[in-house]
Amino acid sequence: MIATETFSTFAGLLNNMDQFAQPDTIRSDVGDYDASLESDPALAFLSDGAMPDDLSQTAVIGIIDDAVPFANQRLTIGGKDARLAGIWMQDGAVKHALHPGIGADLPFGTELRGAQISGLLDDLVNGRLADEEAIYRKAGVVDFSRGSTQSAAFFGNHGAAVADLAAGFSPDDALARNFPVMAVSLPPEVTRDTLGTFAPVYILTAILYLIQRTRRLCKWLESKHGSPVRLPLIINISYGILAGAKDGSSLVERFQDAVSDNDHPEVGPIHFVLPMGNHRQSQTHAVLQADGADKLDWELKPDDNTPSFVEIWGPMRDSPEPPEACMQLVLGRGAGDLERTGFTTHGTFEDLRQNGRPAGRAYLQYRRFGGGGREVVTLAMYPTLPSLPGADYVQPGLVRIGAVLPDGDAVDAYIQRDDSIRRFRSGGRQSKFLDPGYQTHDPAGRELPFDQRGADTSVIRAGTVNAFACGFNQIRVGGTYGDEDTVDGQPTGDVVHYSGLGLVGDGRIITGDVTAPADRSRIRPGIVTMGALSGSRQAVSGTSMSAPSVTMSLARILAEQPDGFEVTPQNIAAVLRGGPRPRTAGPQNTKGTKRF
Amino acid sequence: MGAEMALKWVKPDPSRAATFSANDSPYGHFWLDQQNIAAPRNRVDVKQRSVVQVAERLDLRLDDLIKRAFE
Repeated sequence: MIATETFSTFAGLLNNMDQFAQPDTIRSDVGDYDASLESDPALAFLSDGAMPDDLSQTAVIGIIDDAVPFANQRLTIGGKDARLAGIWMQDGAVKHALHPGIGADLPFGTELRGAQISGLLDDLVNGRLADEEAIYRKAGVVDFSRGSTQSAAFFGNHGAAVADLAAGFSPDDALARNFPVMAVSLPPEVTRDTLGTFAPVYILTAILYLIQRTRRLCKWLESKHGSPVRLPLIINISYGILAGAKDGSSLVERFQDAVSDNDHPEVGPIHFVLPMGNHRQSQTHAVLQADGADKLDWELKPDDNTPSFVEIWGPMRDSPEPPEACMQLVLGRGAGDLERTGFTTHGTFEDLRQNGRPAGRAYLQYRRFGGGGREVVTLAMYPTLPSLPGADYVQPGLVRIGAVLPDGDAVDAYIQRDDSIRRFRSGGRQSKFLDPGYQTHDPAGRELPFDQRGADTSVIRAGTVNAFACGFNQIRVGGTYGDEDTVDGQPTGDVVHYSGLGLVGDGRIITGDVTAPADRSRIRPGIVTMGALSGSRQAVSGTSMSAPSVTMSLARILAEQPDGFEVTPQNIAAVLRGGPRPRTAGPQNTKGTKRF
Repeated sequence: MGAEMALKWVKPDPSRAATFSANDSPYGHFWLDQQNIAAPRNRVDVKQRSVVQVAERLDLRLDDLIKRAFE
């Protein structure tokens, strides 16, 4: 059912995949999964040197990120046996597949198995490959002739940092054997497009890959050991966007919830760990009364050559059928009257013109969820910097927006993420809401970490949580300062000022289900991790670094306590604080308890 | 603010806009229209394009992967 829904939701993209994916990544002759290849020692999930010591204390770590450096020694045993049991490089050119049967069931990209990577490492150790970079070139991960962003060639990258914190061990650490890794390297387009246009499709397919291959890994290990193997799988997704329903209703969230909420016959419990996001101070969330009188200024930055989006979400309704009277959007510039949309049907859009030229578009939809639904208007504005001579654009500056509902209920307005990531320049510039009552700093010049009680502003920090991370069963991780941030020699453990805030149903503000370091201290940003190549180092900041720390901790907890650990935020937090590890007699994949 | 800054809502021009259905992603639809406007000779409409096999293939593989994961 999810597949059908995925297809309908993204039909416009999937029908035209050859327009947004690199054409050489699309497989023309997709076949079935060939399990017989698993018995070939050169194509197996793991080489002999990377086999787990004790399957009763083993957990699989799943990573979905950019350019996971599978040959880095911190992801190997002794620098020669890969702990990566499988990696799907979604941007891999099919012509670069090292074996035509591996990954032949995937619609795009290429795959490597652990034994193949170990073979490449053996080539390196024995001088058949010149250096570690040659491994990536031979595997087709780095190919500058393709013209796309070659993030695997970066000295340091997001995927390397996340992989190190989630799954990195010293290559001589024997414990590492008990933590095989499954990974998916997302295409660079997904990282560059911070609007998240393409991300759900790639993330959904990545999750399916990780589950399916982990199930096969369990069966493969069973065949070698002769007893049932059901390994837990902890999947880290350090990606996020800003706008969305934030009620757990998106397909990405519901799919993760469904996976975590059920037992599966051939794999252990599956958990998802995501960051809270880094946009608490970004002024991207506001609450408005939809009475047409409550208005808000949206600041479009100059020199933004990507579109800017705002989503306005109405209240949850009990009926799966949309209301007869549609939500309307009012919009204008300056002190003049605001222009009101004339929506009469859900699932339609209206165009916005400025001085007779296209300037934007508003879509009205009714998103069904849990027997009810919510109205949402998605407002898209053209870039303020035209991409080509003669291309349409909108003038930068303030746009005043409001909403109208028959009963004047409150609505949430979220600006979509649109920043430009270092080394992945999209040309995007993050827009924001402006409100005279919103205070960024206190009178002493300190940045205000939380909304001020009683402040006369519709722009709020609460609700700035990552919109991919609002499901019922996901584990959300907020960022803190690390051990170098001290007062009187004691770590403060303070939450970083930018870590996203969730807003739960009863009005409480949540910094995350659990927290972990996102920066070393207030004055030393970043967490030091491995770079792409063995021995290199980089410092990376943000809750993207907090999540994988918890992923690693949870993997170790579940590996050490196969007889039962109740996976709740409270229990994980207790373990992270160094307290006793709670045990239960029940199943391991107990539901999370918090909802944003 | 002068009249040249005035914004006005209009019904979509069917000759420019691709078909939009209730479950489509606005982000994807807006992106697709931008592509069509940038290269009108290669205009693609999701309802008109039936020969592209990629979608069916990806859908099939998603369905297949789900079955393998959960059955």
